Amino acid sequence: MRRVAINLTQSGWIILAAVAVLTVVGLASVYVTDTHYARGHDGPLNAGKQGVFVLASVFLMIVVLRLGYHRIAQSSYVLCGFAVAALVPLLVAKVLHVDFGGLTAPRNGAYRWIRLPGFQMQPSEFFKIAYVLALAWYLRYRQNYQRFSGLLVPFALSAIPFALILLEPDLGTVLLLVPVLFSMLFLAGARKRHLAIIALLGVIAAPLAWGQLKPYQRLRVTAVLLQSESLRRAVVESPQDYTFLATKRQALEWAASSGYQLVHSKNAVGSGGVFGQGYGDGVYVTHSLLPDRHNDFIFALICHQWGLLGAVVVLGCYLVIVVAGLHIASATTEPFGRLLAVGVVTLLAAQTIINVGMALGLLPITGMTLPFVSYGGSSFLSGMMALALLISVSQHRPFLLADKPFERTADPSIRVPLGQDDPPSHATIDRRD
Amino acid sequence: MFDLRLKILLGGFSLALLVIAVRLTELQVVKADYYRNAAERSLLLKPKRLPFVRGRILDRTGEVLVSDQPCWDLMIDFDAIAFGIAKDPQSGEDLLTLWKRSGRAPQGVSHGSLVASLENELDDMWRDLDAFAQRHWYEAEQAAQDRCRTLYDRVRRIREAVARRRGFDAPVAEERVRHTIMPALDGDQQIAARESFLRYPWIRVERSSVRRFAHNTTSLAHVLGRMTRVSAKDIAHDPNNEDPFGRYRADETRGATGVEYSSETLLRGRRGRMTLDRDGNVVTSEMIEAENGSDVSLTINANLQRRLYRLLGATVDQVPESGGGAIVVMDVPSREVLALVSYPSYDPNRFDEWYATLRDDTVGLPLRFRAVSNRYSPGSIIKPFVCLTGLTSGVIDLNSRETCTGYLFEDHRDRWRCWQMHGSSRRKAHGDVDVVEALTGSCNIFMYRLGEHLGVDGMTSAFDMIGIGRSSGIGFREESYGINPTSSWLATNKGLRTTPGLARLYAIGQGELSMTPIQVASLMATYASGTYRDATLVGAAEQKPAWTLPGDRESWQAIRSGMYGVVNDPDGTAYKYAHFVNDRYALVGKTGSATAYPWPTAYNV
Repeated sequence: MRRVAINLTQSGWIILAAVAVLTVVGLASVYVTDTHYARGHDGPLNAGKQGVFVLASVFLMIVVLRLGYHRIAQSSYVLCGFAVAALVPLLVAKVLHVDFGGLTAPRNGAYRWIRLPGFQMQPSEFFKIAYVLALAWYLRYRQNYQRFSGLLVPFALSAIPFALILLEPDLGTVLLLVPVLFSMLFLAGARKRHLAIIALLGVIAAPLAWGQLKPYQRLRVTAVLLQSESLRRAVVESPQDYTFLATKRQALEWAASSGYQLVHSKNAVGSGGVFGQGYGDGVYVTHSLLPDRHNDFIFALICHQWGLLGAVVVLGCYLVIVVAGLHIASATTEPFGRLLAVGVVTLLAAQTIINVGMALGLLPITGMTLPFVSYGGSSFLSGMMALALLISVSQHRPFLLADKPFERTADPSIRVPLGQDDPPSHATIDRRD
Repeated sequence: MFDLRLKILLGGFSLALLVIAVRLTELQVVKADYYRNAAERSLLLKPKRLPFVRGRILDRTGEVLVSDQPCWDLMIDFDAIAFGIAKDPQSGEDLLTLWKRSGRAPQGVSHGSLVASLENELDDMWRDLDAFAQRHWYEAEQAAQDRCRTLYDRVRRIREAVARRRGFDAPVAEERVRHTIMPALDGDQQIAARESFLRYPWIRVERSSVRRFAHNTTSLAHVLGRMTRVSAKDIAHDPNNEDPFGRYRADETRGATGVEYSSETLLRGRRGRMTLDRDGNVVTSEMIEAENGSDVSLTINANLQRRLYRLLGATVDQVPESGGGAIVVMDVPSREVLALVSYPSYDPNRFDEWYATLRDDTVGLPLRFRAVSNRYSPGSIIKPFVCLTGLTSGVIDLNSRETCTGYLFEDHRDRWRCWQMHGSSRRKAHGDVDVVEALTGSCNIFMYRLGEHLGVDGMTSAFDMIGIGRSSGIGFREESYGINPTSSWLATNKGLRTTPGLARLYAIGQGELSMTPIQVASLMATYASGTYRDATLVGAAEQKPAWTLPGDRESWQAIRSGMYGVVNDPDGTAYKYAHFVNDRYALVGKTGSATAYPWPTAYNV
């Protein structure tokens, strides 16, 4: 096996620089919460653990870059199969109420983590990447998704792992993968009309799904709506008109129960002001008022310490990654790489938007980390693997003579028989010769 | 097309970024001050209530009669009551959370079996509470579960009352707090309670205070009064409703009777509030000190009261058929009540213990505050005032004379007799008497004739001036106002018209006319001073209303001479009981005895 030399392109360097800034900001924030939060606790501190994960992920990144994304791409389906298989013990544990000697012990009622000695692994984090790889691999040469019936196939195939993850339950991850699916189909050339119809169907089905949600899941959504004091008052005064939304008790106790995290997150963000309270300063650093502040709500802590300026820097870093990633997608002519780049960028951007949105009270609170910043090994590792794949795409010179794929307006008269999977000669990516 | 679609995708991300930027600006620039303040406030813990000390009640010499003493209360979470009594599911969930947090709940079992074992735990708790009450407390009247049921019903009623006030139904504060089920534990009891109930995280023993009466206050039990729990009605009609620190809470007590009730506004303080931050410091800017209640000084002399109680008790006990009696001692110029004795009474510190016995004593009626709440026919003591009214209205004058033969109508000797002709005694009649002699001998015949002349209306309008039918001014809720049988009162309550016969009865202080002992004391003071004034019991009370009664000097002179004669003239009715010789003091008075009717004591049982 020939190793690919790591010879970073300009885009690669820019992306790595942005990630380095985010990592430093994240480590610094995790460190301050450590010194206050974990006072008196034995064992390794969170920041130390996170540092180990950073080193591990750098190593992993080098491995991925050395391999080259095309080699990994060939085992996309296998990887996806492994990732789905890793979900199975969790679901078995949930259904049978066993925890395999503490291996799959639930947290907050959710079976998402496999507890290994020293750290915990979240298989759904790795499933995200495997999913992007498999989807890109599936779509790279097809054109049948330009017809509506063909378009339904990727949706149907995605439904199986989505259902498994929903059972954990981890609604957030599924909600994150839906935009990934849409944007990859969109960029691959699916018809806007078809995607719009599917989105519309989803919107129509939403009220039905609303009834199927667990009460606590509904409360996540209503908690955001109940930010409005006038709505709370309306629910309290005429609860019979709002039974679909919230009970009166939920409205009365919003600030202390379902809205608690949101209230404190907004307090932390708002009290940061323009310049912030300063590193290691401020109420929300010195006191553990905000649950998950080192983790899902680290953006609130950053806004608290460094204010609007800090928020702009962090969001700017993500913007840099997104623009660079899209540039890589645009520059390459290799269809799989294009879709992979789009998928990775959408994954990171959607995760960032959802995480920031929930910290600011714009979106419901779901367990979602801020990529490269939040404490969490699985999240960091999977984020870095995604970036490594992205950079790896940029490493390969574009085939200057080749047509850029997905460029032509789709011709509905072209009928591609299902199952045709042979790559056209001009687009080969096998470099072993 | 790919690049175009990439731009559309980038546009989508940028739109989201724009929304985030707008939201960040709103939170961090526009409303930054609000959130900075909110962040500071989020450090504050839930404020703690600071209780006030209720004012003491002192006698006129400064002796402390009642005061708040520290003690411990055994309290139980309302959730435990609501779940234990009414199986309220929400309370069950809250209780379960508390149980799990305490680490005493069984681990690794399903929710259903956890609820079942919680129910068992509560059943054990009721048993333990009753066992504790048997061993360490006084033997409880009711089982703990029954007491909690009463408490639960009360909180439900409070919730309904509050819902009426607010206009919508919502949980009230009383559903979130602990309620006392065994108050006033002493040091040993509280340690035993802590040991017994360690396994129930919803039971706590907390510091509190209890109203303690001074030693030897039996004679003052009625005057001082008792405390009771605040009721739903109190909360609904609380005048301090707007004051969050002054208004009643369901876990508080208030004065129920006696001075505790009449001086409630003085004795009661105002709660305070203390806020700690998360570092354990007191936040001074949030601190609201509790205001203790004011002390109340009574005009009563406790030693005089005790002595009179002993004397009255000895006297009453000599008369087996007598249920009890009352003595009122009043200072004439100021109308300060120096003693207000009702016999029999009870030890106020042991009221709860003895309640059943006290309640069931239907002869002595020890719970009755005779001195202010029992109406008696005044009898002959009203006669001087009737004479004064006759003199001032010109119906009689100082020279008017009547002949008493012992009977008003010679041919109807069984009715309208003079007092000597009652029963089997046949003493001499008064003969020809004027006002002074009529009062000295307490002649009924003179009064019958005078009453006929004055008429019911003439007398009742005068009775109004000496406070019959109105409060004596001491402000007890158990006070009865007596009955002034005006023509309208007779028409309304008895369906009677005014007749000369009624006028004769009222002139000798009988019939429907009735007064309480304290009103009689006021009347006597009015005879002495010529002025009516409301009685005073609490020293801090404002100047009471007063008015001078009509009547020239000679008329007053005449009735006072008559009353001097009652005690000091050998023909006087009190001469052989109360006459004594003293250089400095002369005793003046008027006897009165009335036909007593059996008191109807019908209760809805």
